Formats: sequence, structure tokens, C-alpha cells
Amino acid sequence: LKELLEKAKARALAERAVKLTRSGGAKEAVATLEVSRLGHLRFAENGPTTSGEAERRFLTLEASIGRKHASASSEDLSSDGLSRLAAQVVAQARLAPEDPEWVPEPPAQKYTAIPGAFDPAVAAADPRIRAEAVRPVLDAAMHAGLTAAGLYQDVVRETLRFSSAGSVGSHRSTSVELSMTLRKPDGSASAWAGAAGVRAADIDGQKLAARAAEKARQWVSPEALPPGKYTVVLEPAAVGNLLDFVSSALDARAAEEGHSAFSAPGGKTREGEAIFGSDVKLDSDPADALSPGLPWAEGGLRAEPQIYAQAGVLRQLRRSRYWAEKTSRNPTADGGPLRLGGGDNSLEQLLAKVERGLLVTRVWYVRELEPHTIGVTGLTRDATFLIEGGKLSRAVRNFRFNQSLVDMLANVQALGRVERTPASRSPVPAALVKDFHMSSVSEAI
Amino acid sequence: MTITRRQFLASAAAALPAARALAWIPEKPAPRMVADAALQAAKAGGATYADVRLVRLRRQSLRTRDDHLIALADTDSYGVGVRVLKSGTWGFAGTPDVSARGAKTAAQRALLIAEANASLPHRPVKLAPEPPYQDSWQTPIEKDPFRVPMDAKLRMLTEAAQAARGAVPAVKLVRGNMIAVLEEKRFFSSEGSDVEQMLYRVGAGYIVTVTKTGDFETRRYDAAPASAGFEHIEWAALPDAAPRVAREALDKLNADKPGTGPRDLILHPSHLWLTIHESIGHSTELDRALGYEANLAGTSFATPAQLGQLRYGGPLANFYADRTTPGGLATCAYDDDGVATTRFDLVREGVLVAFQTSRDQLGWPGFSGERSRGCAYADSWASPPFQRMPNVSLSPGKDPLSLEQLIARTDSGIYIQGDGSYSIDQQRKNFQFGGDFFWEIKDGKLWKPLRKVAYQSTTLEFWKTMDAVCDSREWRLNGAMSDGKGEPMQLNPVSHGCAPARFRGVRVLDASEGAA
Repeated sequence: LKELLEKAKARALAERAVKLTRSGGAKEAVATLEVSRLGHLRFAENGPTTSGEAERRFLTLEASIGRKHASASSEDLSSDGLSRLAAQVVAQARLAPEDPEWVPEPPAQKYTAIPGAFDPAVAAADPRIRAEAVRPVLDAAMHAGLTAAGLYQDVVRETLRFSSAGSVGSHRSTSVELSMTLRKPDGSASAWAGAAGVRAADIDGQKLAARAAEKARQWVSPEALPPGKYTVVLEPAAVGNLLDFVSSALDARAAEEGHSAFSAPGGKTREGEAIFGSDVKLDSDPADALSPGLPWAEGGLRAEPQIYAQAGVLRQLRRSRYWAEKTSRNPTADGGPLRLGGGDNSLEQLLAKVERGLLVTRVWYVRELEPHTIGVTGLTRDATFLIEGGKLSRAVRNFRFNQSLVDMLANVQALGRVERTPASRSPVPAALVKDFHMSSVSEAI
Repeated sequence: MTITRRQFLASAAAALPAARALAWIPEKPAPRMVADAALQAAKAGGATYADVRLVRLRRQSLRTRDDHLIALADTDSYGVGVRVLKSGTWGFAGTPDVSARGAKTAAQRALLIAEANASLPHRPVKLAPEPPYQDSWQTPIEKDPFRVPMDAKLRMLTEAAQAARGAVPAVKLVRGNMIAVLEEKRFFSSEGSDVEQMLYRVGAGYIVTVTKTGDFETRRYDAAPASAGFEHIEWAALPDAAPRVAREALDKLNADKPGTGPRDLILHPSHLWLTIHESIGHSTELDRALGYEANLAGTSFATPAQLGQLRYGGPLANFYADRTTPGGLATCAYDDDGVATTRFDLVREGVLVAFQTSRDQLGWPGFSGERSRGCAYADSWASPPFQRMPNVSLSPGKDPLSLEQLIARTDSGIYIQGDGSYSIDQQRKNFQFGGDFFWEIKDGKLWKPLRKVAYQSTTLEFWKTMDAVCDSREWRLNGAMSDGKGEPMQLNPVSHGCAPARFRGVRVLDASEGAA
């Protein structure tokens, strides 16, 4: 990582960029420098396909002159490049009309360092390490007579924020993920497994491949069950994908303006109402151990843990700095992904609670249909099973679902242990949900 | 509507001299020198093939809320990507250090990656032959979007918002957006190619939200994104359309929901493009058909063994791929494998006849002919190229038929404009599409607006129900700036052309059912 950037050098560069922007005429300026290296190895048909590494280094300058503002980004960090970028952003800010929603930088913030976000082993990843991470997956697939496709990816990133108001912070992070889809060569079965985390040790390719291979083995002679409402156990990859839609709907302004699932009559919101299942907790924490966020939140505020729902009650919606000022409330300084928690069941314990239902491994192509209820459509894929008497009984065809996610969270019966998967940045558990609406059968495998 | 490659290059040449003065790839260090350093290092390291792409990507985006600008962002990214083929496997490295030393280091890193991957079981990559080219090309434009004054751009969006609010008091919010992209790239290969291209893309539009107690709706209007200059945005006359768009948003808010059951549908090009994209465009990608995208984007119901046999539809179902379509977002003269782009049929009179291909698919089942179809694309210098969708379009009907006539000849049905919620399974069979605006058709006339309409079908059933396609006067291009595929995901700009078409007996549902 030291080759990517030395912290002192990054700070000096950001400070210089802010000075140039202010001397060019900006009243306020913020520089955000992000340096990263992304390495990946894709595989398919039991062999490597595209694979590479890319270094990125982006400097983003935000400038404001009164209520006029603009931002500009460049990868040219040379002295001339910095001068050009500063001149460009000031020129654009001058041309911009006044923005009545502009909120100046907050007073100098003391950002809290986020521990545990960085793993030197990921930062030291090289092409051989990636190949060795993928090898057990290919071996397991070939041993089981299956065909593997998937991705191993590692990212190391350093981000620095420097504002003319005196807020300075930096953050180093790593992430790593491995996901795979194992298919029978005749296309008659497909099963997925994947994991993501901060540390290289969070990924166990052998274990993941064994799980996917076992599901592919079990998924034989799938039965097409009729569409309708089912009790489902959604595995974490499915929950994470769906929760992303809930996260983007937690906006106080949209609710108070009357165009959100959380709107109440008279320009009010549903804050304080028991909307979700009694186990449901929705929150975020920039220092989350599985999926750390950033030390700063929207507009440069110091990020703090947030609770959105607890024991099924909607506690708060996200309030931007502008909307907070306009509504005389506090802004939401959210620096981490939305989390779902509230349970501690193993997957087997969740299955044991189901007399008859479906196990959903993951979902696909989820799109919003109905913002009034966060209604979405999407499909199950890569190993859907019938649960009978608390155990997996047989393979079933995939389904398209049309489902309100407000209802889904209201119908949560039990939750599992939190995991992070490649499907979402949100750490989430498996969820046992009743009355999940499957609208048609999908023949896709 | 479509032109030959020769005509295309001739039309483009007229625009070239003016644009040359705007070239964004710096002259120093000389691109040739940077590329040579990488190509020599690749050769010295044992690569059997290498290519080098210097790419400068400039992007400007504006976002407005009602009468004010809320975000103005300019991004400028410049770097070099080096791809090598060694021991039958690919290696790739990208760096923002555009210098001979940076490119050489990237080439050496790419070699290490290829060597490491060659230790895994693999089928050696073979490249389809392609002659080297020395050429320049750019998107024909009249107005460089990066030279249009900011206030002119902004006025189009804020005046549209004011016009919408002035026309309909129930308008709560108008969100506007405008984007301009300039992708300049210089491609060098170990086979002797040296190709420079400048690709412009623009898009703009707005979403009007209307509310009443306990309810809300939206209606969109846009200049379909296109490979074009700012003139394309001007032609869309964003403010002029705003009063109508606002009135339609209110009509939609007060409209009935549809009943569930089979209905005849007339689909406007502003809607049908996305159905073509999802069901035809993606199902005819060869990498997908052979399992190379199985972990995310999925596979395909169409297989190489079904070439010449698989029936998508009747004689009106004629789909072609064409990276030379004027205005098409995927339009260019050479793909990112350095292959000269072309037009070719995918589905002819209802039957699958070809797949989309790239150079490294030589020897794969379904790779027709000896040459690649020119479908490689990388979304930046930091991404390796792989097979991406060209512009895929539906041919217009040969018999004269206007949209007005088609509606008049439909006793009962639903007319859908604009794209809405869309979702299709991982093998491109089961899909559900919404729309942006819906009309109930009764006795050959647009009778009343509807809301919350969606239709569900499967690709092969759906296209077999198409019984009428309007003629070339009604043919329009629409598209998406950022179609996702691959891992890590890359974004591909792509367009789809079509004329309005009618589909019989498609299962319509109330989109809020189950989701409400």
C-alpha cells in the first residue's frame, strides 16, 4: 500500500488543492482524495477468463461561492493538473446559479478512526494469491462433475478528506469477496455460494465450493409449485439484495413531501409507528466489524451510529443537512451501510421453524414497482428448495415474486446471524418471512 | 435509417478536422511511445498478443430540482490499460501513470497475472484473425456538448420545471438531469493497429412528481440518450413538452388500474427498446450462452446448437446487431479488440441465425465464420475488454403502417409509452415489464389513461404474439448509457431501434398487486 500513497503526501496534496481552489475565488473548498487498487480473477467453464489489476487515484474538488457550487474530479495529480482542476471547479461554480438548498460546510469536525477496516494481507494480494484462492473452487467443481463460474476480487483503498473549514480525516480499508455458481454441465442445476469481508481470512473457498456443490447435487427433478403466498427462508444474499431498496426509501424529505412508503397524511411521516416485525432492527454503524463505513457522513459531518427501526418501530428517517435545517431537526450523520439485525438463529434453526415453505438462495433482477409500499419484482435463482417438516425436502422451480418490502419486514418471523455477502454491502441475516408473494413460475436455471 | 460502413466513415470524416483541435489525449508523452514501451515489454515477456488502450473519459453531469441546480459534476479520467495473452490466458493491468515507464510496468504486471492464471486448468485462448488498421474516427456532431454555456444547459431543465409547475398545481417536484460524455481512445496492438476514436454521448430529461393526499405518481420525459452532440438535446425541446408531461402525470394519478388477464398491447419505441434489449440483446450474447456469465448476468435459453432452428417469432421478427447505426450509443468504427464494426442479423424471419462475438471466442461453439463480430468493449482504461452488446434493433415492417393506423386497427388493448420497472430471469425467459404511461384502447381509439400496468411473459412466447410492426417512418432509437454486465461490473452504452409493434394476448397485471 505504501506504493499507492503515503498519508502525509496525500494530506499535503489535498491541502494544496484546497488552497488553490480558495485562492482562485472559492469561499469554501473540500478535497477528497481516493487512491485504490482493485484486483480480480474471473473464472468460468472451470478455468480463468478475464483477470487484472487497476490502480485509480481520484481527486475530487468541491468549491462554493456563496450558494453557487460545483465539483470536479481528475486523476491527474501533477502540479499542473491540480492547478487546472482548481481553476476548472471555481469557473464552474461561478457559472452555476445560486442553489437555495446549499448548506455550507459544518464547523471543523473531529473524525473518529474506524478500527478493523484494513487487512495487510489483502493489501499484499498478488496474482498468485488470487489464483490459489480460486484453485479449490475449480478443483471442487471438477471433482463433483460440475462447471464453475465466479469471481475473486480484492480491493485496497485509502480515502482522505480535507475541508477549508478545518475538517480533516483519512480512512484505509480493504475488502475481499469470492462468489461462485456451480452448474451441472447439461444445465439441469445451478447453485450459488459467496462470501465477502474485510480480511482475506474471511473467505474460505473450499467451504463455499462445498456448499454450492451440495446444493447443485440436491437440486434434481425440480417441481413447479403454483404461484401464491409462501413462507420463505431467505438466505443472507437474498435479504441483502432486497434491503438495498429499503435503505434508499428511508428518506425523511420524500416522506414529508408525500411521495414515500413512509409518508403519513398532513406532511408527516410514520416515525413512531410499529411497522415491522417485532424482532426487526434496522440501523447503521460506521464501525461495523463486517462492513465498515467511512468516518464522515453526507456534507462532512462526523459519522455516528444510527437507529432507524427497533423492535419493529420506525424510529427515524434519514434527514439531509438541508432538510434538517428547513424542518428544524437534526441531520442524520450516517456513515455505514444499513444493517438488519434482531436474531441469532442458525439456518438449520430457521428451517426447523417452517412446516411448509421455500428456501431461497438468492434473488435476481429486483426492480421497484410500487414506491408506495417499496413493492418490488424479481426472481429467485440458483437453488430454490421446498421445506417440509423443518427440513429441505425437494428441489422446486424458481419463481418471480411481486412483493412489498414493507410487508416483508412486517412479516419477519425470525432472523438468523448476520453475514456479509457479495450481494450487498449491508450485513444481514437469513430471514424467515411469511406470506411472501410468488407471482409466476420461472423456468430459468 | 442505416448506412454502410463506407458511408458511415465518409460522413464522419467531415466532422473530424474541427474535432481534432479538441483532442483530449495529450501529445506529451507521445501515445505511440507509451504504447511501444508496453508492447515491447509484453513481447519481451513472452506475450503472444498484446494491446494498449490510452483512454481519456470526460463526463459532465447536471442535476436539478425544480428551478435550481443541485449538482454539477465534471469528471476527467485518463489512463492506460495493457492486455496481454501469454500461455493461453489473459492478463490485464491499468494505471493512471501514462508514461513509457508506467505502461511498461503495467505490461509486466499483466504478464504476471497471465502467468499466475496459466497455472490453473484452462482452455488456451485463441484469437480470431483481424487485419491491423491505422485510422481515426469520431461521432459526427454539430455542437460539442462541453462547449455549450452552462446557463444554456441549465435553462432547459429549469424552464421545463417551471412550465410543468405552471401547467399543473399538483406538481410537487421536478427532477432534471443532463449528461455529456466524451470517450477518446487510442488503441495500439502488437499486430500493428493504431486507431484513434472520439465518441460523444449525450442524454437529458426530467421526472415530474404529482401528489394528492395519500397518493403520488410520476411521468418522465427525455431526449433518448444517443451518440450525438448537444444538438440532440436541443431537438428534444425539453421545456416545450413539460406542460403535457405534467398533465399526463396528473391523468395517471387519477387513472384506473388495469384488470388482470390477456390483453393486446401496442408498444411504443420508447418502451419496446428495453424489451428488445433484455430478451433479444442479452439472449444472443455468445459468452452468456456458453456459461461465461453464469455467476451474475446469467446464461441464455438460446444455445449454439439451436442456430438456424430456434424460432423467436414469425416473419416480422427480424433483429439485427449494428455498431454503425448513426446515433447508436454502441456505435463506433472499431471495437476494443480492434475489430472493424459491422451490421449482422441475429434473428431472421423469426429464426436465430447468429450470436454476438468477440475475438477471443474463436473455436467456441456458435462462433460463426472466421472473424469476430466486433462486440468487445471496456468501460474505461482500468477495465479489460470483453464481449458487450452492440446496438440491437428490430427491423421496421415492410408494409406501410403508421402508429395512428395501428391504433385504429386495434379494437381493444393497451398502448404503452416509456420504460418503467423491468425485470427478466437469468436465462432471459420470464420477464415482467412496466411502462411510464398507459392508454386503454377501445374501438380503435385511445380511450382513457391507466396506471400501474405491467405485463408478464416469456421471451419466445412473447415475440410469437407480435402480429404488426409499423413502417420505417415510425422507427426510433432509444437506449441506455450504462447497461451492466461482467464482474467487476462494467457499464456499456447501447441503443435499440424499433417501430411501434402490436402483441396479441399478453398477460397483463396490476403492478401493485402483491406489491401493495
